[in-house]
Amino acid sequence: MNIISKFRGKKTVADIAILKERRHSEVVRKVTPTLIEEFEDYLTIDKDTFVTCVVLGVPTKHHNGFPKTLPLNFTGQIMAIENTGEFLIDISYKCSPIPPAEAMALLDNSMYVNRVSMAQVEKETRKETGVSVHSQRYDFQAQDFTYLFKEVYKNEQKLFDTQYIIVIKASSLEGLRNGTSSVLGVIEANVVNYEMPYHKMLDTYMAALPFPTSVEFAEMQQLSNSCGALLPLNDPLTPLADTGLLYGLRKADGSPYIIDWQTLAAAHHIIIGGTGSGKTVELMKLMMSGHDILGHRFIYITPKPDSRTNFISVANYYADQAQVIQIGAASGCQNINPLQIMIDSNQTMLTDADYVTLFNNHLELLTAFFSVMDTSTNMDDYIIQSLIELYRRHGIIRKNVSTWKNRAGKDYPVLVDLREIWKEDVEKKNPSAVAMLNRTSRLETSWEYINRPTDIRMDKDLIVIDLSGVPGSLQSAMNVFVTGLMSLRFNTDLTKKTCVIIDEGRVFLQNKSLTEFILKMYTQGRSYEMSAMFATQQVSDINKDIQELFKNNSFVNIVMGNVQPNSYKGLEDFFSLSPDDMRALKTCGVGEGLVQVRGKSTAVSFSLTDLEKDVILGEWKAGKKAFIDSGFQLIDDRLKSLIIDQEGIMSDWVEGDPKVLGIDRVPYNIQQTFGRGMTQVWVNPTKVKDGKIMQQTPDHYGTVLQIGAYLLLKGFEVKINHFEDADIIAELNGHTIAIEYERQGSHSKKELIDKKTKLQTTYGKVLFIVPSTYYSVVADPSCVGPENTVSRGSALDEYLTDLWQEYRDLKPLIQQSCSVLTA
Amino acid sequence: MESLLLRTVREEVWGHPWYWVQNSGIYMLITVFIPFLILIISDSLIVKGICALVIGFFILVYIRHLSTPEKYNSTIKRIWYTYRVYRGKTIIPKYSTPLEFLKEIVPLEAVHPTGIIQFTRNRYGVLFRLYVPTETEGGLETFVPMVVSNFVNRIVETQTLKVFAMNRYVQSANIINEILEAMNDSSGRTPEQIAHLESIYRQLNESVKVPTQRYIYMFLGLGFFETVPEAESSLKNILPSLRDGFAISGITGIRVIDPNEIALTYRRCLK
Repeated sequence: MNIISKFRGKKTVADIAILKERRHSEVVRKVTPTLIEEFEDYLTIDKDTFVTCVVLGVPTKHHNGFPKTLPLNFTGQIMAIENTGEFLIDISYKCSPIPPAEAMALLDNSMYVNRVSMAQVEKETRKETGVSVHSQRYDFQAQDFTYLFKEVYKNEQKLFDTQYIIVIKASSLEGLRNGTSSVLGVIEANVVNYEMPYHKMLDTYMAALPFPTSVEFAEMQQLSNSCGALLPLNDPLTPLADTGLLYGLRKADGSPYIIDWQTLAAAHHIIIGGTGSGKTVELMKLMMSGHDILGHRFIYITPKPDSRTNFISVANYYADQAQVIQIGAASGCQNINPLQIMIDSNQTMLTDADYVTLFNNHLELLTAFFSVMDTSTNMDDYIIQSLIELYRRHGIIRKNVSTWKNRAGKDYPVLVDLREIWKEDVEKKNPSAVAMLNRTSRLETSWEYINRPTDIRMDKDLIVIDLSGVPGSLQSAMNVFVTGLMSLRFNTDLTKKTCVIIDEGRVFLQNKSLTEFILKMYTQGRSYEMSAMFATQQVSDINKDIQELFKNNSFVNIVMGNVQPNSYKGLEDFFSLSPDDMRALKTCGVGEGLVQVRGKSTAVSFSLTDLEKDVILGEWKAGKKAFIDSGFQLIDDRLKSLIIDQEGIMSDWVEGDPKVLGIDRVPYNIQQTFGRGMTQVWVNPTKVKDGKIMQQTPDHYGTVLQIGAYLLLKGFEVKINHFEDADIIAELNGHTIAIEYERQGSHSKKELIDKKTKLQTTYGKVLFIVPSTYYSVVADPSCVGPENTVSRGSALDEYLTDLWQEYRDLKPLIQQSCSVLTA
Repeated sequence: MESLLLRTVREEVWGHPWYWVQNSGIYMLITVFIPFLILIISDSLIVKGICALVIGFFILVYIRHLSTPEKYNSTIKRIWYTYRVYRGKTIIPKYSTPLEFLKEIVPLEAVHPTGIIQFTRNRYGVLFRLYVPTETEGGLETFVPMVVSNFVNRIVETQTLKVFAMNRYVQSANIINEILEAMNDSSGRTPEQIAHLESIYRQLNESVKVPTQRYIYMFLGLGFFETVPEAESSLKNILPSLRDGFAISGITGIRVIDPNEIALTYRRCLK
């Protein structure tokens, strides 16, 4: 029994040891890469990652480790090196405090050694030359030792064992060389001593990683202040938000520059840019992206006519989602009757109290509208009284919501009706009425159009309001009214966030009431889930007394590039730009600029996508079909036109997994036209009826699509018909060929001959492509003939390649005709 | 900014490091002086010739590889490297390498459930993921002293602080995924919106070739302990001070506790 229990005891001990070993081995084996190989000057990890290290700051006999005046952002400079697809840079800094007593002992010893060495050199040189040579090196070292000793002794700083290693990783040796070169460039520019630890790369690499290890040759001793400056605890590159609204690409490295509006106190913007700087284009880009990515509602208000930048084209692009409102007297322009209370028909959740608030806000807005005409407080009160009276006379009772909630626009009073009340009050010797009557006399002349009922709709998500048609004398009032109306309209709908964009804001700031109104939007908009973008040409457009208020409430500032030198000072002061920011701004051209968020400025290129270019610059044609590829990459962009026209796509036209096509398409298996095996054609399900795609069998449709793509990529102009004419008409250098794809039983022999004759008459050359099993029938001389027939597969590939070479080498047809004429 | 070598400082002889003078002397004694003695003593011309050749050879080796301290250091490293190559210690296939040797390279012993990492030779430490500020009020002139007083000086003698800042490739930028998701969520978007998103997607795909992400880790070496509870106790003493330091310096430091997360972090650091 004793022996058995002893054995059991030993087994338990062994089991525990095994378990411990397994647990331990699991961690180290889990963490270690599969294969590490050490070479003289680099490592490879798993054969696909090349690694090299640089040891920094270790002093030698001839050099100090770091210069005395090393900039505090030295580590930041290394961190700011662009990590491209070629290489990655890691920084490791280790510090471990030395107890003061030990530190002082080390320093004492070093000072002693320094003196002895100095004396020894002096003695030797005196012996050899008769003159003692005194090296300054020992003096400088002695000064350093004394300084360090003083700092440690007086408890001003601690002394640390430190180690600074930079690791460069790349997927190729060339990338590793480039990375090393970039790093050494920064190190040498700062005159820092460094060493490539040849033959010790693995030890150095492991010492750089977060383990409690170090290598002796990388160790040095530094004071606390040096440690604080060298630790990588301040990132020079703003970590770009990785989700939010895309503004453009960061100029420094081409990274997408994104601002997450949710992290801002309010998404208010100030945009400053001179004429032709790309300000309006950027506003349009932000409007489109904000609408499509964030799902926000945008109202763009501009007092300048649409010229080079086609903001109307942007609205047209979005068709039913957008509306262009051109206010003015001219024919075709719309009108807003200021007295009509606008209610969003989409909103059904409002209570009676909400409606009354809406009414009150509208009265306030009307007061603001008239305040532009320099009204006094008494006059403002009088305006409200007269408005209530006017509404009462028209059966509109403020608190009785049913009297106006569903009222048609034409049943609302207009401003001329209000003047009638004022006229009555003039007779009662009311001075406010007299003043108002005098100030609004043009309502019966040049402003008369405003007395029309409202004929705009405001239930769209993108509203472009063009105020350029409003007479100058009424423009300020209309600006206030329209801007306010839009804000009020969207204040009541908190389900969608709204952004009001005011372009050419200089016009708005020329009027005090209007300025106050805009400031109110900036200061209070956040409560209503509203944001504002205010764009103007120069900082001086904003009055000095409101600049601070504007600045404090704007959380994104954009300064467009192409700045005139005389504007530098104003911009520098207004946005508190640093010398570095100013340098960056001066390098910004048209379509570029500085974006400032939380005081940090970044040079950004507001590059447009192809579609944005088309739309914003007015080249988008109505009815032009959009190419939607649900996020896949085509093997060749030339196929795009075919996909748009034919609404089908072959799985081998896509890079990567073709399953992404399944988002909005259905697949059909068909045979490869030029090779063996099967492939898939993916089509829009709306184009499929009774198992046929555009009246063709999937095989016919897919085969024609494959041949069309083949020719397209060879440089032919290709037209595909599914209903009449030849299946494919291809043209190169003016030479045309008509191609028909025929399957057994689809046509009789006579029909084929008729087809051949007809197509030959029209296009000259005809080719019938058939499955190999049908070749003998069609190629028979009594039918279409062998010269006009080819079977699918490799024979077709050869035929079309020969044809392409023939057409390519032929002179263009027009040149041939000229040659004949010349002859 | 000072950086000095205090631990390896030795007296210099004629302005040269003592170790180099000493080792060069030994080399000369063995390779030149002894053959020279034989050359003088020997009567055989053949022996004299061989000795002369040997002396010449070793003098050449000296001039080429040992004549300066820098050459000497480089040669010693190369010899050790060649020795390691000969012993097969420069190729480390992790599954077939003996565990003890693997631990010499990657000194991890175990990761304990409390997030304490045990290294070889009873060393312990913990990992923090840091989120550092990009812009600080007053710039680096005020930030660096803040880091010194609230961070660097709080580390006690037995501890080690190592900050490792690295960039790693990420699969795809979030914005690209976000736009893809928006495109696929076609229910709420019109074809025009999807086409616009698609154009943005294309632009991003072309411009954002290889997205990278910055990770900054701080390793705090706790020192040598006999048991894990001792290491934990030491950690408990410094954690409140470190947390304060993080807060004052505007640094967010999150301790990595989950053993799997720690293993993943090391793996990410290693490759």
